[in-house]
This record gives sequence, C-alpha cells and structure tokens, in this order.
Amino acid sequence: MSPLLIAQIGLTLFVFVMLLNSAAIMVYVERKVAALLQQRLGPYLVGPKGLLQPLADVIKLMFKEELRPRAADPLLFALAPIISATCAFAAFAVVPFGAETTFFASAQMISYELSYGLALAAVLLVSNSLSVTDIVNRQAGSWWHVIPRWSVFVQPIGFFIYMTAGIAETNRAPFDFPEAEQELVAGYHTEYSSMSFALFFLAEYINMVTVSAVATDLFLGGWHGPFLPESLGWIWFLIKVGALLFFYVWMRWTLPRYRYDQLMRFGWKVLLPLSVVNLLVTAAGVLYFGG
Amino acid sequence: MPDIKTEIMTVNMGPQHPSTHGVLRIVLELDGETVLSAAPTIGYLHTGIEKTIEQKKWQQVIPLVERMDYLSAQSNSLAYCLSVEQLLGVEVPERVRNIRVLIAELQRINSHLVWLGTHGMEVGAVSVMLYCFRERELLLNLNEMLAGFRMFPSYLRVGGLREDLPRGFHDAVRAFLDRFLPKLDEYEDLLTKNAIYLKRTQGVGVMSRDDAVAYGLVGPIARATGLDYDVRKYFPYLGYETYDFAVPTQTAGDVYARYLVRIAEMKESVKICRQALDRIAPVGVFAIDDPRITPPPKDRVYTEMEALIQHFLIYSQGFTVPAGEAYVPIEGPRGEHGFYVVSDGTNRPWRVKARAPSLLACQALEKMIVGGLIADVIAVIGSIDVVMGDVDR
Repeated sequence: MSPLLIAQIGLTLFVFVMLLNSAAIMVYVERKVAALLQQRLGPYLVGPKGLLQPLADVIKLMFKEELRPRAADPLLFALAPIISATCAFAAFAVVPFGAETTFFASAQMISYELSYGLALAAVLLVSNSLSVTDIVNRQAGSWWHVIPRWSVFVQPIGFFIYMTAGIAETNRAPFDFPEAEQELVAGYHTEYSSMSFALFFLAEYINMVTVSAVATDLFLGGWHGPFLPESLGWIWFLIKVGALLFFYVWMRWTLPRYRYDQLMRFGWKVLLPLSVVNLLVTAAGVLYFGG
Repeated sequence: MPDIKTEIMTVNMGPQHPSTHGVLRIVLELDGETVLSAAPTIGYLHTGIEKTIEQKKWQQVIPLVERMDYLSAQSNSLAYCLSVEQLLGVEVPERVRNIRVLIAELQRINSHLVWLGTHGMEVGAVSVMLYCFRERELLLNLNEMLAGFRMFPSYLRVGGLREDLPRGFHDAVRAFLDRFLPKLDEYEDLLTKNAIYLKRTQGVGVMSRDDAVAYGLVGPIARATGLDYDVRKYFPYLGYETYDFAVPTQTAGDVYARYLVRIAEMKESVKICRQALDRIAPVGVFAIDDPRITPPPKDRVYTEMEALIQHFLIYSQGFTVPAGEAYVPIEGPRGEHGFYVVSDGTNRPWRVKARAPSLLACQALEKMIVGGLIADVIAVIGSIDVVMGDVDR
C-alpha cells in the first residue's frame, strides 16, 4: 500500500470519527441550548456540566432491547436506519473544511430537492466552478476592506432558499413532519428502538452538520476569515458551522410547526419559483457581467 | 383523473394519544389527511366522584369536587360552596366574598396558563409550554402559601374559608401580578403575530355563533364566536357587579379567536385581582359566624365546654342542610360551571351533579374537526381546552 493511500484512509477515518463526535456534541448542544431557551438547566449530572450526557445516552440505547413490529419486513426494517446513517456520512464526504483537504463531487450535492439544488446551482454559476474548494477560494478577501466577499451577499435569496430547504431536508422543526411529535406521536421513531433508533438520530444530526458545513463553504466563505492565518482557517470554519447549527436549534425550539399541506404549498408555490427566478437572474447577470 | 382508488381509513386517536388532554378517544374516518367523520368517545377517566359525594358529609365534598376539573380546582369548590350556601340560606361576609373573587381569578389565570402551554406545544411551539408553566409554578406557590397544598388546596369551605389569609399574602399576590403582565406579553411575542401560528390556527375549527348556541357552548369558546355570555356579567355572584372588568369577545370563532379571547381574559383577571386585593383587609373575618357550620377557634375549644361540644359536633356528624335543591353557576375558566345540589335534609348530599363545560365542548368537537385535516384535529382539541376529569366525573 502506498503511503498516500494509507494517509487517505487515515484521514477518512479521522473525519468519520470526528463526525460521530459532532453528532454527540450536537445532542448535548441541542439539549443545553433548548434548556437555555426554556429557562431550564438541561443535562448537568453526568460529567462536568453534563458533558458526558451523550455518552450516557449511547450506553443506554445500546443496552435497550431491539424490537421489531411483527408485520414489518425484517430486511427492510433493519436496512432503513443503516441506509439513513450511511447516506448521512456519504453526504459529508463532499465537504471541504480546510485549505489542505479537498474532497469534492458537487454533482452529488444537487441530488437534494429541487429548490435546494437550484439554490446551489446559482452559487455555482456565480463562482464559475464545480469545485467546492474553488468556490470557497473565490470568497476570500473583502470588498472595500469591510464586507467579506462571501457569496451570501451576492446570493442572499439563494442563501435563504438553501437554509429553508435545508431545514426541510433534515426534517427539523418547523418542518419536522415525519416525526411530528404531537400529531403522529414521533412518527416512525416509535417503531424503532435501541441502536437502530440511535442510527436515525445520528443521521439527523450528521445531516444537520452537513447542511451547515455546505452552507458555510458555499455562502459564508468557508475557512476564510480575518485575524487568523490560512493554516488555522478551520477555526473560522467551525465557528461558522457552529453559528448555523445554533440557528437550527434556535428555530426548532421557538417556532410552531407548519401543517403538511402548508409546507407543500410553500415548497412548490413559493420556494421553487423563487429559486428558478433566482437562478435565471443569476445566469443573466453572469452572462451580462461576464462572470 | 378518473380511476384513482382511494380508501377510507378508520383511525383511533387516543385514549393514549399524548395530545388528547388526558384520555379523550376520537374515532376518525380519514380520506388521506382529510377528516370525514369524528366520534369523540368519553368515559376513560370515569372516577365516580359524583356518586362518592353522596356518601360524604357536606364539608367533606370539597376535596372531591376539586379533583373533578383538576386544572381549575378552586372554581369547582367555589361553585359547590355557593350552591350549598344558597340551600343553607346563609350569606358569607364581604371580606370572604372578595377573597373568593381573588382566588377564582387566580385560578382562571392558572388554568389558562396550562391551556396556553399545552396548546402551544401541540402546534409545535414547545418552549411556550415551559414559559407558561414557569408562571403557573408561582401560582401554585401562592396556593401552597394559602393552604399548604399546591394543586387542590381545599381552602374554600362551605360558609367561608378554612382559615385567614397567611401573613404576606397580599405582597406575594401583588408581586406575582406585577411579574405576570410583562410575561404575558412575552408569550404573545412568541405566538400572536407568528406567521406559522396564524397559518395553523386561523380559519381552523370554525364554530359559528348559531352553532355555538345550538351546542350550548359556554365560556371562551362561545365568546370567540361573538356571544358575550359571561356568568359574571349576566348573573353576578360574589359581588362581581361591583368590579370593573370587560368581557373580551371575538367573532371569527376559530382556534385563533379562542386564543385571543383567553389571552385577553387573563389580562382582565389581573385587573380584577388588583381590585380585589385593594378591598381585602390583611386580617379579618374569614367565615360566617354560625356555630352550626363554622368550627370554633382552637383556643376556645381547649378552654370552653360549649366550644368543645360545637367542635365535636361539626367534626363528627357535620351539619345538616335543609331539604331542597340549588344551582348557582359561576364563570369558571371553561365557561358556565355549577353544581346542582339536592339535599334531603340530612348531613350528606342526596345528589350533586356537575354541569361540566368540557363535556359540551367535547360534543361540539365533531362539528369543528370534520372536513379539516388531521393536523388540525390536534390544534382544535387544544383550543377547546377540555379536561377529561371534568367530562367523566
């Protein structure tokens, strides 16, 4: 095996473990931020400031009995959480998070929903590239030394569409229909227990991280930011992702839920036309100003 | 599209569903997401309280009725006391009346807070629930101060109150009221103009004014349709006619209108509480001066023979109530609420029948949800604020 291959495998493993960690951290952050918003304490018993709570959760889930409804197809039932978690990990493979590492396969990203894809396409048009690294690098520097050259200022509507579709994509409140706690009593989550439930949970949080990481790369200038040298760009990256994740949690615990038909109407009658128009205007602009 | 086969599905919502406010069961026929028919089924929380009451002495009934509509305990005992006092033909002193007004209004705020919290949670705004329960906690603290019991204080008694107000009660209530109004604005910031909340509640579960009359709806649900029926105004009791307050109404008759009515009612209740506080002297009489009904003070029981006998009589055989029947309605948090009390002249009630506003609301539920979507069912159940303990008894 060549050293390069070993290095790549090592790096992949590192990212994989870090992603698992990020999900664990998100569980903790979600509970702590929710507690903050609701004037509670949140977890505080397990470990200092409750930091080991995710670990305790995982251990609890591992020791739970694995249940399967009698009428469920055994294979599909077992496969569903695995697919969901695998997809979540795979989606993250395209996200570059520092100047040195460049995984990319932008086409894969556009397999999300239509408006989501169209919002991305508009950014790609502006950036004139399909490489996420290129897109990020084009956002370096600032206009008049004040406003950073982030795509969000070129594509505010695109950013809005992306974030909205992203919430729907990750099934978070106010668009959390598959699990609609009050109406469906947590939806399909009720049927799953133990680690298969944990996998769904994991997938949800990793998807959140992915959507935020992609948004950071495409709209918020990725690892570019003032004060820090290029080699410490990942700190900026983490700060931006963290801010977006906080925004997600904040939304969830503040807003009521949309009704199913209202989301459909919103998605097809507002978001999609808006993203098409956004794409057309962007394309025209790119043609006119020459990219 | 001609040949799409659709199937009507019968779904059982409840009694274990978390958003049915206890154990309401609704059999729904669904065409996709649309509700074709709905049959509310009750009886899962039957406690037999009404029957149990017949074996209790008049004063012992108080803790039992408080457990019927468990979210507005003291409204129950107030209604019961008023009916029995009418049968007895006694009139409680003015100070007691004012204290009862204060307690009833605090109870209304308490009940509306639970409603707002659960309703907010059911449309997905989970944090509203914790905000409301934060203030409700303070109300429960007041109850604890008053009687040592937070949920079911049993502080109201036939013939007055159990004991005098605790020291510092006025200040505690004032502190709560001062804190509460800004917090109420906080809840409103979260919901009243929230675009998603408006979408979920406006035009949902509409009840017309005529339907509200036909179904015998009372309280906030009726007032959201444009009726202004409020027992406190139409048949004043406890001297409500001397208080300055408005009866908030809306005309839309939907979930949102009910929300607005209840929010406005809480503000009016705060106004009434302040007026009542100004009228209540910190120390004074807390029960009628009637040796048949009111036990003598403890120091007299220990020093005087007559007082000891009186004490013994009251606690062993209770008091008798002249034969007859009485119904004195009050305006509870859920609407007209009263106890039809029948006495055969003994020391125990012959029959106590509650008029439960929740039961009528349950009956009208079908009218409100048929034709809507299943997600609306939850919003509507939340908006009519049923308490199953009140329905089944």
